[in-house]
Amino acid sequence: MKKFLMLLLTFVLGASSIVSYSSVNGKADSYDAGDEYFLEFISSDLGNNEIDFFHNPLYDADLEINGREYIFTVNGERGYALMVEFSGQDKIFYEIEELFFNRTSPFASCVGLPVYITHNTYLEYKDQTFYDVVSGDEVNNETIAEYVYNGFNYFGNSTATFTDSSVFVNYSTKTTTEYSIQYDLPNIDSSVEGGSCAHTAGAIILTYYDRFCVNIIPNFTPYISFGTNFIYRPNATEISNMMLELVDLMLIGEPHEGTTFSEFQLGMETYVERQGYTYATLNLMMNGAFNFDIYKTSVENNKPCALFLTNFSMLNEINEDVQGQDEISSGYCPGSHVIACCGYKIDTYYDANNNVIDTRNYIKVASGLSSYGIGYLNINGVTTISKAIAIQVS
Amino acid sequence: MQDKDLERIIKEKVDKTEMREFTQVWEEIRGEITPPVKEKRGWRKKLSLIISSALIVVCLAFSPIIINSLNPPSDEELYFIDALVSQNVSKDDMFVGLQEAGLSHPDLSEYTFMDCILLRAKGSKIKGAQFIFYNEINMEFIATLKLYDKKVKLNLANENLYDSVVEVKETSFHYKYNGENGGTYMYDIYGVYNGTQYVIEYSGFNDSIVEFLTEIFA
Repeated sequence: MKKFLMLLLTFVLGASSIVSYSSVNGKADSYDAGDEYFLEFISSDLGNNEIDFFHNPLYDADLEINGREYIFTVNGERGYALMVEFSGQDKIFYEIEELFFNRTSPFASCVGLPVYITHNTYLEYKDQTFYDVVSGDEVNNETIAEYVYNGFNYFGNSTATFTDSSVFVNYSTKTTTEYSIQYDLPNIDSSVEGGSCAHTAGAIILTYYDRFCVNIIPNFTPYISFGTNFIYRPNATEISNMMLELVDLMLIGEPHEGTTFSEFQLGMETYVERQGYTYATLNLMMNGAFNFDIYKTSVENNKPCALFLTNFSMLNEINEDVQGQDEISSGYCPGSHVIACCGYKIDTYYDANNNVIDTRNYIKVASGLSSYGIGYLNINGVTTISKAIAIQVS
Repeated sequence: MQDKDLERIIKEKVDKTEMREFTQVWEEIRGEITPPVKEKRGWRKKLSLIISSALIVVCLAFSPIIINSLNPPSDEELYFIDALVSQNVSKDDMFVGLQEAGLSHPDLSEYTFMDCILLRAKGSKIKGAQFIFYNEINMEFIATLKLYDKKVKLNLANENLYDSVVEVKETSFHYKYNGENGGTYMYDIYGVYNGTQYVIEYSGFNDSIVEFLTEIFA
């Protein structure tokens, strides 16, 4: 009996494996909802070029299909995208987790079932075991359970600690360009019980927009005018209540910790439309990477942005005590986070011949963290931006 | 000579050796062997044993206190600011909570308060508070005051973030000037007063934070 079950399982897995590599071509007559989502997502990268694509299924830890690996060609350049789907509220939500041009899919070398259950982790299931596709190492059940818990959620982990490190830049001269939305963003942190980073970032951006759309938080003014100055009230009860409403609205499916990108978008749109306004977003990712120029344009047009990070570095300080040398100190957090942004700082370094030798970009943020408050995200190294949007409420 | 020959000679010698009876040998040596005498413990020895046992127990009981007094608080005893949970409360409840937690605070009874919160650590222990305050009659400034237990680890308390120091009430307050906007001066201030950490965001018409701090901590 046991042998029969093993044979049956082997047959089922084998059949699944064959199905997994049957592909759907993008030039087919009709696209399904997943294809349409993918095409809409990639449209800003296409320009006037045509796209040819096919997709393979991706699997979750229970070996159920949970998304697609898109392989595409644009203007002779090959790339891939990994898309996952969530269901809840009688709908299916699609989410592109990564998209790269001119890069081979991490699942390309996969011989078993491609399993995609959390950010930046690529697994395959073969011989009744999970393996890391990149390292080839076997992955135990405990680790799989941890990956499943993390899912594609952003946690803004309140217990995560920061590891400090420094880099040194030697230069002859330096110029600094800074910009911030007037009066920045409110310094709201995620200390409200039940709230996490996504709800906090959402509350920060909505409180900012209440300056112009006064019914976002009804019967409440989120700031105090003092002379010509403007002071936000980040700890007001009304803001805490709005954040708790966002906790409810940013939920798809069963209650869980953390928030996915789709849940953030759903919660924000639902809240804004309920208050009588329109919610619109602009994708700041181009060819799979964060586009700093589009970001700059957005904040310069007073549109705050939200970045979805799978790990990040916050700038501690730039020590200029030594002539001709900057010591740039940052705190690195390996956890995920959603962060609201309102400006930037660009340090350009020159040698004695006035040649640019280094450029360092920092993003001004309302970090949602009590430890950093309003500060700068250091995007010059270990910060990984998986999604970025500019947000408009009107 | 071969090994075999050696073995043969040894065997012959052994066979010729006479073995004496055990009883005979025992009779010869029994008078030389005396049984062990059990030592009787005196009262002095008993007392010393009791005293040394008591000393060991006392040392074990006080060792955590001694170790703690010799070593600074470890990370496990610190409260990370990002792990504190906020709770919106009334002004009165906030001050009652601070008093119960043994957190000192200046007497600000003449000021108007807004947006008071208590900050609690895991287990509901109160570890800080935040509020906005100003003088409603003579509105010279508006400030956000954040106060924390000394065991709360603040990244903002990094002294490098504040580039100047001022002494008020025998306390060093580190501060950073954030510029002026239409006659309003802005400062970020950090200091430890009476064992409580203070982080203050000041906006005022007066450029002197010494006057402000003297007034607040009077």
